[in-house]
Amino acid sequence: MSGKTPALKLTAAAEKKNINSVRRAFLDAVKNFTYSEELLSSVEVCLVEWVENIIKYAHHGTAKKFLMKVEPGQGTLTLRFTDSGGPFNPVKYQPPELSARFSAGLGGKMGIRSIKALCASVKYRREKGKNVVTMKFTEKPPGC
Amino acid sequence: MAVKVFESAQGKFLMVMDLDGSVDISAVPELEAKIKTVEEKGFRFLILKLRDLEFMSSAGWGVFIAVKHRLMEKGGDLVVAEMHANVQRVYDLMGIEAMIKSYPTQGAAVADFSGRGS
Repeated sequence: MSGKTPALKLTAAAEKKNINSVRRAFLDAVKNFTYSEELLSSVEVCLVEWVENIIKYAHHGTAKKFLMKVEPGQGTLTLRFTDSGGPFNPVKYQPPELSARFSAGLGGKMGIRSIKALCASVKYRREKGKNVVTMKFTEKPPGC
Repeated sequence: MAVKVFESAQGKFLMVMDLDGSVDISAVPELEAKIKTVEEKGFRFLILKLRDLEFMSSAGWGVFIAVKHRLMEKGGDLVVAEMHANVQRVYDLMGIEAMIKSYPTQGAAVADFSGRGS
């Protein structure tokens, strides 16, 4: 437990049609906070990539639900996802080399890589048959 | 659909497609279909204008990479122009510039293509 009050606690079916509305709900929940555009853009990318991951792999399009919590902090923002799909630890996952895939005309396999590059930290735990993924974002100090 | 696509032919082989909105996996089938239709009309040089595309997940980049690969086999190409800052961030981060060329303006992309038989 983080002890922080979530700005948003949302449960949604893991369906493609819900991705845009989940992203919009996030943007609406943080509109009164003074986060930089860069941080919000990073969170949007990670949010969508992880929800797409849940839809594609954790539930294989079977439309089970996932929970998303958005926890604002001082210069930080935490996203926490819980889903009941098969175990998948993004922290341990090693994405393949992209240049060979690109040359072969293959996209994909970029989502987890994006998340790891954009988050200050990603944590995973398996709890009561559920994946719990916590992504933390921080504002960059001036000059970085 | 979360993304709207506006098409503008520039000669016989070059098409400019202006994307407006956002692209995630839910928009991919329709985006693929629109590009496929353009390809079937014989356009083999595509400029995708992304100024008004406020968001795109890696699924969208996957579509562009596959299309580019297909077009290159036909002697064509796909480039992007006027990228929205949010979209540019992932482009830079994933090293997509090694595969898909980016131009600051549509004019610069057209000028480059004009020397390549478009």
